[in-house]
Amino acid sequence: MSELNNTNQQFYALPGGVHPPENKAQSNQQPIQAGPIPDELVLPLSQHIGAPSKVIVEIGQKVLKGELIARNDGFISANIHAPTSGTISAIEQRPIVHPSSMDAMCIIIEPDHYDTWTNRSPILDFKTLTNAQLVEKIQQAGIIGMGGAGFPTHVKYPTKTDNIDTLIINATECEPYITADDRLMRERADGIIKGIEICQQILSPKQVFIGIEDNKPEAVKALEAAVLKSESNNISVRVFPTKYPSGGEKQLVYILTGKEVPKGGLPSQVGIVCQNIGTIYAIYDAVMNDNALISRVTTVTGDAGGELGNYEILIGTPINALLSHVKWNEKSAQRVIIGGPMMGFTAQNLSAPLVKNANCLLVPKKKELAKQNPANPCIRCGQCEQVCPAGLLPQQLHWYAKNDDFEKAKLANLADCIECGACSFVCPSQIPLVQFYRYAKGKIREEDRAHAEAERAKARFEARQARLDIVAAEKAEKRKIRAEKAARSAKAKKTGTVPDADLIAKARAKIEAGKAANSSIVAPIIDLVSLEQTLEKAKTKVITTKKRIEDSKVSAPEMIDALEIALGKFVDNANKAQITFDEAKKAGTNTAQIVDPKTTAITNADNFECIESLTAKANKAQDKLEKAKQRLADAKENTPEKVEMLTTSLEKFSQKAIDTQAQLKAFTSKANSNTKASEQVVNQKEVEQVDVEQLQNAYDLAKQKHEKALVRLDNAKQDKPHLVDGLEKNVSAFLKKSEELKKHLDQAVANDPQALEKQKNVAKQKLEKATKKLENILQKLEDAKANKPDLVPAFEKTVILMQTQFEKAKAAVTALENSPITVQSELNLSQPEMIVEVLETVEELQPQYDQALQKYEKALVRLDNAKQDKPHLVDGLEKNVSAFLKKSEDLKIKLDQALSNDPQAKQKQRVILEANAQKAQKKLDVMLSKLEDAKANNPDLIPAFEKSVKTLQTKLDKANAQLKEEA
Amino acid sequence: MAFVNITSPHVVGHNSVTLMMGKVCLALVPALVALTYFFGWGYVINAVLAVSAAVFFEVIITLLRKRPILFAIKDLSAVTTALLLALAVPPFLPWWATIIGIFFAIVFIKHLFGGLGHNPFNPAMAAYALLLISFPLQMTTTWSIALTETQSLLSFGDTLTAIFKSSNIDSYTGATVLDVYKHNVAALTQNEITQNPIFGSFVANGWEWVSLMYLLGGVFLIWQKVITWHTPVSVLGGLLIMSVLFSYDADTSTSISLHFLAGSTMLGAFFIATDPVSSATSNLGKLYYGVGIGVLIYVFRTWGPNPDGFAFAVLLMNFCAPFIDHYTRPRTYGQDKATRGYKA
Ligand code: SF4
Ligand code: SF4
Repeated sequence: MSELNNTNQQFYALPGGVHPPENKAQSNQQPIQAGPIPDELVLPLSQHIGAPSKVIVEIGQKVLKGELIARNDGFISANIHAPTSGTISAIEQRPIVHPSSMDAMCIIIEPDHYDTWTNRSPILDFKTLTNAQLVEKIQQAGIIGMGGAGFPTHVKYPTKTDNIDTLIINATECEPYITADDRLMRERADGIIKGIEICQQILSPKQVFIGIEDNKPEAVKALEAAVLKSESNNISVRVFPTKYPSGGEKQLVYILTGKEVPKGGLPSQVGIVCQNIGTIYAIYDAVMNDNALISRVTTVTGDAGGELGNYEILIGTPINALLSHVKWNEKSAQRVIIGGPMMGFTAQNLSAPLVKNANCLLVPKKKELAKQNPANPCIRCGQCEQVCPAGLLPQQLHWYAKNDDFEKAKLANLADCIECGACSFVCPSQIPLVQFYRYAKGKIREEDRAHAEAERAKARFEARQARLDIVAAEKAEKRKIRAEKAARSAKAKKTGTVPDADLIAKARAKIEAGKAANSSIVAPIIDLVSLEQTLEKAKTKVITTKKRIEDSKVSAPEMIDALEIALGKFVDNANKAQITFDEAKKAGTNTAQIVDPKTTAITNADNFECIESLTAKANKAQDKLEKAKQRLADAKENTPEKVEMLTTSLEKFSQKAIDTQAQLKAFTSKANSNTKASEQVVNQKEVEQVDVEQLQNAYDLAKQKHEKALVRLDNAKQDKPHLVDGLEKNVSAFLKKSEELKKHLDQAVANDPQALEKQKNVAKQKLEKATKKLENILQKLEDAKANKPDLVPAFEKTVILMQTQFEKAKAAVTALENSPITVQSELNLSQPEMIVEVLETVEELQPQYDQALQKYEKALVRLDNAKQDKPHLVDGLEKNVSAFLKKSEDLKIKLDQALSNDPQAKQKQRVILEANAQKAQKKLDVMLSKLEDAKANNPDLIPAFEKSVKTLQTKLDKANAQLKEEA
Repeated sequence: MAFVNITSPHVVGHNSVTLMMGKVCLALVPALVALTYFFGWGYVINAVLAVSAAVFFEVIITLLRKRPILFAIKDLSAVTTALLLALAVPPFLPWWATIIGIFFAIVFIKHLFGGLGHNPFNPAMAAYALLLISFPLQMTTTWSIALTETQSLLSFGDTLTAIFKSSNIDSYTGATVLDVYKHNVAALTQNEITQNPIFGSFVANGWEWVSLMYLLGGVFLIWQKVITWHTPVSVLGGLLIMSVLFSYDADTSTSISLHFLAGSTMLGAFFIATDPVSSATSNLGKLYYGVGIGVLIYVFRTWGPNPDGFAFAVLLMNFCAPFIDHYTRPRTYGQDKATRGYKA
């Protein structure tokens, strides 16, 4: 037994409010009577705020009273049970109780009138259950807020509730006419208190207030008596003066605690949970008696209502079934109002069912409720302001709404209007103010949605743009780096430090790259599936939330804000999911493309082709799946009869998609192992028949890498000394690799009779490529000159680079064509001693000598430069210089020898020299004309050209000098 | 069966514009009686004349605007306006001046701005100001001298002739007490001024009673929730502050009691400043609005050319009302701070 909690009279006065005639006596005199079992029960799938429930029965199926017939779909949704035993006769669109008189999906039950219960397991002591079990029971029973909005109750009871200090039980029933809660309290107070105790156990609040108006003294008495019997000692019944709308959730919170629910927020933000008394009773019934929410107490009242009173009706009872049960006076009825006279709405179709939150059926006679007079204009009398419980300026809101000035209406806090109708009630001009607010709210919501949509589209666009920008930037960066590298490698080559390379390592690197790409193709695809799922989920959430908002527009305007916030979040999530999904998809495809060329060279190309085609297939399947889903969603809205068919095909598609993905997975793993296998093959060093071509390529690559490493090392030496050690190691590693490769290459060349041929081919190919590239770039340069003068310098640089490359390639080819050994000399400048006696002809020696000389000169220049700003390079360069010098001297000797050996040598030399001189002359001419051009058009290029002209001039002079000498 | 789709609320109170305006008119009756008792039939005749003219013009203009006539007349707003003007102007004002005033109030101020509820200015006060500017002589010299033991009142018939024929009734007319006091206070002391019989024995012979009747009517309106206390209290408060600050010495300026009990102070505070259409709307706004009027009344009375500046004070504050409204929005439930001004 608890101590007596005296009826506490403490309260905070509600600002504003009105006193409409109460009209409660008509219906609160008789005890609650059983309602009829009608000929059919109509159970809408969406009686609550949130996702519509999912049907789990079939047409023709027999159901028992209390049997689950539709399951909640997600957290914010509610179960629906059969209110009596019978047969499911249809699942179809039916008119429902809705201000806009719409149809909705309903389960129709044809009662068998036996009213046979399903198995229930009542309990004696709820304290044996955990909080989670209690909440589970509430959720199972399909309980929703029975006072108005119909918000699923279990949502208010998260299992972790450490911040709730007050539980408020709304027993206000402030609307005129309605007495359902009044009677419930009078007759079932003990159950109500039990229900409160259950909620107390879940929430463990410091205090529980039962808020009740002073026009229900019997109910107060009954509750107090029940509280006395209760073991709980912090329940207090708080009685306060009757005034409409003190039963509004926000208003009641203020009246009882003096706290205000923050704008756009929920009571839980101030540590309060609010619960309607009817809901509390339903909780009791569900937890203790295992009764699902299948019936409720509804008031039938109004002068044309017949046998007025409160009826415990089965959920889903059609309005006209109840009305004829109470023998209403159809002829004198003016209208039928669902809910109270202040906030209820006119029923449009009497075959619509009464649902879980239908607390009243008001059937007034023609004269009973004042008919609405034509409205006068607003005279700004301010009466409305005096009664507004939300602290608004209704007449300004009205003005803004009327003029479609929604910005100002928002500014005047239209959203905080609870549509209580107090302002309309007092308005001397009898303006239907609430109607204006509903209109404006709807419009604002529409606008906001459109705006949000636009914002989201913009965000999406910007995100995409940013992504593209990044990609572009990366590309540009890569291009730049490549160009630099090329430049440096060209330089490095000439410095003579060109290293050897290791074929196997190179090959392995290749394989590894392939493998990595290969395995990463699997990952994204697996990812894709889960991402796709996430995306779908997010999308569904968005859709259901949108729907919910639509619903709550009518039934629970106060929820809309919260829902809209949620919607925003969901939409964000969906977008994010979409982006991730897209990216993953793209990455997947990219990988496939990247992988392909790399690996085919070494591994089983077939596999990858398969993978590619399979990926494509998987993508297609997914596409189809998505489309099917889309169609299904459409159909759900427009052509319900197609839904079934579409669902089947959807399933097929998804099966297909899954299959394809499985195949793909299988193939990728196979490809993977194949790659591994071929790796092993290559790993066997003794395999002699390694292709020379491959080796050559590998060697080239290794060399490049080594060069890069060198460049990096140089840079690091200058500004990142701490990296030097690591980089040096790198360099030596690369060097080693390339050396090894070189060895292998040599071996291969030695082993392979056609090696030389092949080498030649490689070199030729390179030359071709270089030529093409050069041509290309020249073309581009021309273009640029014509159209984009600002790009010209860049292109010119490239041209020079390409030219060098081209010349190199050409030299290599020439060398190879002449002799396998020469190429060695070209490739291994550091080992000039490898040059052995061959029968060089003068023709061959002369260009070689010239080249060596050139190189020597260049090396000298570089040495000079290095002396000035890169002292650490001087040593290496000096060696270079001497090497070149030696080479050119050697060549000179040979040339001389050859000259002396060859009787025609002199002649030949002369021809060559003449050709040289001519070439130089030509070049000079070209350059000069270019210079002229530049002078006319591109003055900033003049210095560069002038320099070239000078160099060419010197060359020409030299050539002429040589020629003279010879002569 | 087909039902009309009526949205909530389905019950409405029994309030109506007619009822409100009716109550205002009713609340004016005691003052009209007192005026007639002390100053003769002129007020009654003016009232009838003004109301008839107002209804006439209202009918004409609603006809022209193609609006339902009965609906417009029924709301009694034209009647109220006419009554207020009739009580504010001198009792012997020539008939044509009254008609012009009503014409201006109904046609120009009310209907040309869009009809009931749309007029930015109080029609009665706008008309009053127009008359004062256009016909200053008629508006200042046709006041009736109050009934005393020595001073009799003009008979009903003579009053009619005076109003309609402008016959000479010099011995019955004069300026208002405020006027007299204002013009003499520079030369005379309070005692000397109040020797003038028009001041009577109490404050201002007859005027004090009329003011008290206005007050009575005003309290009735507050009780009936036709108006709230905010406007009248702040008007009187504003005036009080100014008169305490500047009129503490009745020998040098109009006395505090005269400010409150003579002239149209009470009429203005309870019946004119509270005109809903043209005043500020929120409770806080009404306070600012009222104080503004109170202060301006004093300013116009003391430093302006006219003896009573009520009309100008009200009109000036009418200008400010929309602005005041924006900066005095009440705090909405759940808000930490009220949204005020023109931006969120
Ligand atoms: S109660 Fe009606 S007439 Fe008065 S201000 Fe409000 S909306 Fe206008
Ligand atoms: S309907 Fe809105 S504006 Fe009117 S009184 Fe209620 S809360 Fe205030």
